[in-house]
Amino acid sequence: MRRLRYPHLFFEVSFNGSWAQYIDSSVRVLTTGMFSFWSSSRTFPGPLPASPFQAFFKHHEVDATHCYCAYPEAMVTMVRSALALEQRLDMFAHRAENIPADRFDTAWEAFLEDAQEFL
Amino acid sequence: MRPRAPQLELADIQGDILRAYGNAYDCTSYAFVRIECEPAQARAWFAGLLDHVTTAQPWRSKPLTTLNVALTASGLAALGLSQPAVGSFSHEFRQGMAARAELLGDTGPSTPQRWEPGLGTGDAHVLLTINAQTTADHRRALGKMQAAMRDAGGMRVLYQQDAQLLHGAREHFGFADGFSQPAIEGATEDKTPGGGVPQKDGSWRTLAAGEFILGYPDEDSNVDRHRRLPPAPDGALGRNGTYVVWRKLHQDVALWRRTIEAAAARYPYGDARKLAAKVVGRWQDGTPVETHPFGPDPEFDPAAHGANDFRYGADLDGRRCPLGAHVRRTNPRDALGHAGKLSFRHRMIRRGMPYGPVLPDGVLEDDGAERGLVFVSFQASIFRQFEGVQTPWINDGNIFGLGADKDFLLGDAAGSGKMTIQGEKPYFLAPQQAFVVTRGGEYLFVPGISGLQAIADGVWTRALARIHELGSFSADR
Amino acid sequence: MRSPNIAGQTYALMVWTPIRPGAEDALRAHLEGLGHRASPLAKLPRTHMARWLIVPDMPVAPRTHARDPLGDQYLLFTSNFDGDVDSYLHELVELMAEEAAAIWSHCIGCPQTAEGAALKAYLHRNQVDSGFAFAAYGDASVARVKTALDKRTRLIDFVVRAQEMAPAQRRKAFLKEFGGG
Repeated sequence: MRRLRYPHLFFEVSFNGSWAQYIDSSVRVLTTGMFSFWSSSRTFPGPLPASPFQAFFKHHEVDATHCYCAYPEAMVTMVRSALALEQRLDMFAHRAENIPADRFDTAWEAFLEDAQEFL
Repeated sequence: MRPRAPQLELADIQGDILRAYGNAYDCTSYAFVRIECEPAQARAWFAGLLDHVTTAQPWRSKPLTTLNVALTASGLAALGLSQPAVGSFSHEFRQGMAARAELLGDTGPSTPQRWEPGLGTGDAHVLLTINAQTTADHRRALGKMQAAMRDAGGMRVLYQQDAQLLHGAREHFGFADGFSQPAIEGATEDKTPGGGVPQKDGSWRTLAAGEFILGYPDEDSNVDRHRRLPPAPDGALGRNGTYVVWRKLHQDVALWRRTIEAAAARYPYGDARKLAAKVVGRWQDGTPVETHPFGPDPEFDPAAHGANDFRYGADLDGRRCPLGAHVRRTNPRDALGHAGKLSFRHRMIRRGMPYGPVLPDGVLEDDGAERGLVFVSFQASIFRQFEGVQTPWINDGNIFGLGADKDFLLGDAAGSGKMTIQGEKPYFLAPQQAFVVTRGGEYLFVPGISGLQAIADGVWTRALARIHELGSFSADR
Repeated sequence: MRSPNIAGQTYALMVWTPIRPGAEDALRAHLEGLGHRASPLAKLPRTHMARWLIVPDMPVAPRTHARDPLGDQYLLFTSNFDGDVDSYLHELVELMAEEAAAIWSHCIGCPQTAEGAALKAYLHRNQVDSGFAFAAYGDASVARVKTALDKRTRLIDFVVRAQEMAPAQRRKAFLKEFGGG
């Protein structure tokens, strides 16, 4: 059992898009958070400007040798939309059986208006 | 408090970058030259061009013709630049556009294997862009160019694309184009309302010049304690220069018209013109759909001060301007929240020109003519500013909460992805085959005047015993 | 006290095991080879995302004086899955028995017979807690995510086609496709 001299911080994240774009977004939007999270790390250059921070990250990055995802084509926002949509769809489908034919269209339009942001 | 920006060296920056040459030039030629002789001989020809290169200095009177010079990575090598010197350019520039086709969505009919001969092969070395006021001036300028090459020997035009202004500064789908540009500190401050970075109080501020021209502080420099400048090629090679994206985009106008006509048949809120405006995010005359969702503004003047002064913050459900509309995708302004922090470093200067004959109004069948847009953009970082729009904003919907939906106008050739027109009665456009196909492209660099001179003088041609990697940040992931 | 590895109903597992000196290249080749076929992790249906990384050493920032070497290279296995860690590790050693043995047998301290309860205990012993685990949709299981994604795709396809349908036809088609609630 090995004892390391210093504590080391390990950060793992799964995200969509290129890592450089992810980091670029994170440092601008989560600047304070980035600072508190990383400020105890040696040679942390500060979250902004982005280039030295990206270099810091890249220097410390380890590539996965093998990755797996149960739903590789989906992205976080899509999963969240799908989950929110499923609730609405299930509810509507359940009601739909009992909606008289001449009222279905109105109900369908109301459903779509509500569901469009998840489609 | 933002540090004061250094003065831009207009005499050393090539023209048509900071300020557009404008609509006075009816004819444009893009001539890709291939060097087939020794670098020293090529440099002699190259040196001969320099007296004619147009700079960014303001004109007393507009010249009859203009000339600008850009180079590909293989062009730098062909002119004798050493490996380390070429290595000081960005990774994506050196890789070239064709090698990055997958990333850019240049697949299917847009795949580089199907590009026009010469483009994307590494054979194109030097791009000469010639603008002319009349066809006579144009012929003369081309003649001079060809004569100079003949005299020098060892150079030939590998590929030439002519382009010309269409009536009303429109592109082939009929939309006014080119007037929405970034507001650059010290250069285009007149474009600040609408062209700059949206501020919380409703005002706008300019963008740092270094976002578009190398050798100047960029947005990152302005938050850096040490005010470091962004990565750039060594010394005079990079200073006052910038990167260029050149893409020949074929437009299937007939397919576009037929698709919109058919889809409009069931559109509950209007006709084909309205549906087209919803897809684009502007009406054909340029009126933003965000400010005028029901019809174009008869008073709209794209050249007027503040014509582009609008934002999306009050329309986060996309009911005025759809979330996936083309102009909203390519320039989200404040639409991504966080006071525009996710968008402001992805701006580009655009200087393209349409090519090919107009398809007459009302014609719905393709006539087989070659027509489209030569897309040209200038930016300090191809990866962040061009590719950072192309890949996540045009060819994906994730950031907008649109799943895998692509830009309906431009989306890649896979032909997948619907478009939602948000509204009380949402309307869905079915997935389509591509209206726009990439016929070829290149990544180039447009040096400053001193940079051009130094290349001509053979300054970076020293061969080194060892090739060493320069430790510049490589944005290749 | 709630485990720091829990996010919603998901769990973030991290297992660090030192690699036998000399076995690093073989392990790397083996793991890279997995990528060409279906991942063995697909055999564990509760897994959202998982990966194996080879950590060669603790990276040393430039101009740092003190090195802090790991000594051996390490295999890091991380997984985000549904439910509790004990039953997951049990499933791992049962359903992915062959592949697990093939991988972890490259590591120091792995039981000679790298299977069953012995392998499970080895992995458990080498687990390291997260300081903080975050999941964007921690309440949804893999099965639920997959069903929801499939429904979304089918619904998008339907709403586009439905625009062309007459109202009566649309109602019928909807009930056929999604009905039964």
